[in-house]
Amino acid sequence: MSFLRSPRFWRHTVLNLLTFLAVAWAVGPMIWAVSSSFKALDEIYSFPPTMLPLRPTLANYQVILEGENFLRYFLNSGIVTVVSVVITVVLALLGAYAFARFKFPMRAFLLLLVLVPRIIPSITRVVPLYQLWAELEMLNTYTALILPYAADALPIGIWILIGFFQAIPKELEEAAMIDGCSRFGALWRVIIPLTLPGVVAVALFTFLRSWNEFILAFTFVDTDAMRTVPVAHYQVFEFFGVRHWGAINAFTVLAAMPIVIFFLIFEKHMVRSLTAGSVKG
Amino acid sequence: MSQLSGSPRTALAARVQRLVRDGVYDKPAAWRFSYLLILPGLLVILTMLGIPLVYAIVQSLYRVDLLRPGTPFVGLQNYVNVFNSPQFWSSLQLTFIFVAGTMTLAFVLGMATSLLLNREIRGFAVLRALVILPFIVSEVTVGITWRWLFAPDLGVINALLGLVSLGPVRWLSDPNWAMFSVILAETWRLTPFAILILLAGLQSVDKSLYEAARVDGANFWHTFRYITIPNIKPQMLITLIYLSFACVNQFGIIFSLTGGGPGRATEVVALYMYEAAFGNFQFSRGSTMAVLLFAVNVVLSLTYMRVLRSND
Repeated sequence: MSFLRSPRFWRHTVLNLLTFLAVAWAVGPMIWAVSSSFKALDEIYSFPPTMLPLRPTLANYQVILEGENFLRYFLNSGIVTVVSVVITVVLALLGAYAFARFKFPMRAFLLLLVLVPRIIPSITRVVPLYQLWAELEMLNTYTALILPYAADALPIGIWILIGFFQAIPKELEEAAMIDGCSRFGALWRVIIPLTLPGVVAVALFTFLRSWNEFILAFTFVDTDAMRTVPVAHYQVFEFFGVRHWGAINAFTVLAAMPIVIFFLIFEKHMVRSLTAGSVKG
Repeated sequence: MSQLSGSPRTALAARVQRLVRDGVYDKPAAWRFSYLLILPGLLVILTMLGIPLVYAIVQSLYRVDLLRPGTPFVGLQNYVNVFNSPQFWSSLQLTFIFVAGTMTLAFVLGMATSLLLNREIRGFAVLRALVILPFIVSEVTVGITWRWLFAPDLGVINALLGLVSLGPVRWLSDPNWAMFSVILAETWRLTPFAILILLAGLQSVDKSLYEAARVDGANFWHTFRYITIPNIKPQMLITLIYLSFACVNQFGIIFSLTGGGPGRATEVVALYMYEAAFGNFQFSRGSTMAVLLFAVNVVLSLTYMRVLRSND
């Protein structure tokens, strides 16, 4: 057992232990929510708590799934997120292409006009936008969420894609044009495939923010059938009256699942888009 | 352009060269096309970001209070009222504690985790993915997850403390603990961002610098102080500035954890603003604080740009 006396062995052990603690700090709270979501109510109320469910049950998930509008929340979030992503990607592609390719009067000014609003936080626009949607009688609509979400992601989206367009030689596109494509044709057939990593980054960035967004969705929606997942999740307490922690944790697991699955599939791209918007919270 | 004469590609390239020389990219036809491409995105950005900001600024100069008739122009009176309100100063103080506390904890934890992960380590990709997870779930998920951890009678934190005969602590309902609890949850969410940026920085540092230092007998603190820090200074600054944005504008986590309570113990400016606008229907008072929060964002952005420029 001479390795027990080697400082290298101890150094490694201590560092690995610390790494384990850092990972436990990050995933522990989530694992705890998952574990609790499979516990029967009497087990949740027993003390001291058990680490893993003694008798795993799906009863908590049943409670949640039987909730009147539960699937509706996911449908709402899905619609709002998908449409926001599509609008953001298309408009960002068009705008970025113009900024990257052409020279025109007021180019610098327009670029500023597009990029600078990214520093306006949601907390600043929630009151005026609420008044706008109330005035237009558009509270409780998908549009009331989609347009602000697209606007939120567009400046960063345009910024990312300008970089991608500038990296593509003009000649490539011109070859396509001379072969008989219109400029739009050249854009879609030749340029888009080359900017795909950028498009993926913008789409994931918009997806994350739209799926998770809370303050605007909470303020602009007050009918249960129009709630998005984060808003319904927030209101899970009023949903049960008493603290049904098993069901609340089941809701947490279901709400986080789509995004965690997405993350596991697109981890590399996701890491890039997570840091893309690093100016804004 | 290609040097292979005679091929069809060269002929094509020559035509393209002529086109570029003739300047098809900056003729009025191209201008109109550019404006057409930019317009839809610009419209969305201006109507959903720019105009709301202008509207908030204008509204902060009027009295818009749904419980009082009329909307008279009051100049800077709303700002005077806000600055004269002890509650605003107390929420500003809470914001400062929240921002400073979270930034410190998230930065230190992020740096420590990055250093731990920046070793020859098995399963690096998996470990990195795991430590990033808290950053991708929603603020409400963070709030509700921690509410369960902090639960006074059933929560796992108090149960663990009980094992060493400590507590129970009323994490969220004790005014002396609530701010700390909120900071802890926000730290949990933001540490991954620090890790993402700092780890990328660490990995870009030339490994031979460490080898050379070790040969000279440098210990961990020497290399950290004289090699690591100078080499990842830009990443450290970016991390700190991003963390400050995220904390100043934070709403969802505090709102879903404590709702600003108990009493007003965690009511930062963002929550106080929301309460004024949607709890008391004082839209102009809310707008006034929204404009002040925006001003903080502007100052942070200018700092950010200056920092990035000086590090280019």
